[in-house]
Amino acid sequence: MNEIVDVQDLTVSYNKEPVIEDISFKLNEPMITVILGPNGAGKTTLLKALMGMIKPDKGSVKIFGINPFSEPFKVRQLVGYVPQRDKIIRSIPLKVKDVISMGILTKKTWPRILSKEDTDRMKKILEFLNLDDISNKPFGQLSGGQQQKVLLARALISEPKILILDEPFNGVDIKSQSYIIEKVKSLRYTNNVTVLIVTHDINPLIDIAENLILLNKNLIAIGKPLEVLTEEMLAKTYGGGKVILIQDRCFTITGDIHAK
Amino acid sequence: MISLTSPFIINAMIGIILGSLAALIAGTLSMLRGVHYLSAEVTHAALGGAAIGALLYEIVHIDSAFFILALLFSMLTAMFTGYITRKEGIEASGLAIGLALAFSLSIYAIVIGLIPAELQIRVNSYLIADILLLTQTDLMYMAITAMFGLLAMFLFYNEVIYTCFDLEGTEALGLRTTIYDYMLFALVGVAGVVIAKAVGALLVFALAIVPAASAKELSNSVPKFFLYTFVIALLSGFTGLFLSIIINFPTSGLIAIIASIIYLMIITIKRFSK
Repeated sequence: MNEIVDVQDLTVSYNKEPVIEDISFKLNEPMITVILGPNGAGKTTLLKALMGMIKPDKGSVKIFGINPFSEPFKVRQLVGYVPQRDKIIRSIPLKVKDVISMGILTKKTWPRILSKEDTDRMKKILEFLNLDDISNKPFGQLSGGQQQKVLLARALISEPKILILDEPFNGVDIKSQSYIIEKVKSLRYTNNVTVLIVTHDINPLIDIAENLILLNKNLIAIGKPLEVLTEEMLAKTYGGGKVILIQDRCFTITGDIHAK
Repeated sequence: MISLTSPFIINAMIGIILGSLAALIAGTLSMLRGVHYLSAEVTHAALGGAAIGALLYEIVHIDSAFFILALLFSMLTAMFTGYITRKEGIEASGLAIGLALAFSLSIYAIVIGLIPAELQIRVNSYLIADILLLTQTDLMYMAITAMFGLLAMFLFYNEVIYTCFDLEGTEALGLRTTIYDYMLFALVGVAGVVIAKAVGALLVFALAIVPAASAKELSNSVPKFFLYTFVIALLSGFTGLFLSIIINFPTSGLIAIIASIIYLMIITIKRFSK
């Protein structure tokens, strides 16, 4: 049986400068994997390479046995992606339901028309994420937390096998963060979705992370969070950091540095 | 005073309708994609194409050469800007336009001195146009181009809007954004030439971007954004035309002033009503 994610010796460069180098790891079963590292560590680059959006200098990637560089659209049919919100042009007056329907229509062939089944799925996802009341509101007028939920709905509506979230908590209130975390957890355990979350702050996710990748151009460590989150590993990733245990709950404090 | 049923006026009115339809494409797409000056700048590149068209006309007497080559230069300039924007980011789009314009306008500068005066007038009509001098042939070219642009927009509306809204996210979701992004830039170039034929490249900004900017202030949905751009361009066009008949002022200039006044009125009313 194919691994869900199989990355071997992956190196990606921009302008001949390696952004990620010799990355190798496998994910054999559905789990919540958090990719952690400082700004510029190559986290988003790794995600883009997994989806076949960037060609590597060397190495290979397989998603459910499919090569995303030779068959990118096959892989993207299996993936739900929540991008960083600052890349989105929020001044374009698309309504919430239009943004969510992107998640279905982009995976169809032309003429891309919503079927009755698609409309029912929209209703379900709006209820699942508590977005019914705001489905006709322009996306740009929502709060950060609401926008993030809408993007999550867009990613989930196609019932992906892998859910990828890129810095999902930037500019999002604590209540919305907790809500999103609960939904992601239920997807993992109820629907067996593999989840990959990129973040620079592990603390909100420490309770649900089953697998942790420390990244700073190279793969520093991979494993269970409590095994990987040591001060030695944090020093290699961030240049320093403290791990604090309070009533058996682990918190990490790292400095705000740029990658090496 | 000129009769409203004179062929000049009727042609001008048809030209305004076609120009407004083109503004619906060029103005809104430029603003949605975040390259607000694109439609205005790439239509200047049409001058180089029109100049080459004049040379061709001198040799083989193909009348459509002016418009077709103007269209080609404008479209290719827009697509080149798209290429640089995709590669280097939106900040580099200005440089891309500058480079392409430099090439096209230097062709214009060379050729304009080589062609007879009557052909110079035809070439320069892409820079400063008189809507009252539109011919049936001009309107035919404009109509075919505008209809082609509208058909493309209708068929690929979702794809183009998604590409503008979230380029990377849409690609990750499975859409081939490269095709639709280049299509967007090409449509802006193509539609811009229709507007340039109506009011001249110097005033494309006034008929395309200013109505789109006004529409943006009023719309809370993308379909309304398109519709209001068309309506405001049409209103500016017809008001400018009829005013020019009454007070005997150049029509294109009045259209531009009316469009600007409408924008100022909208933003003033919006500010004071807050």
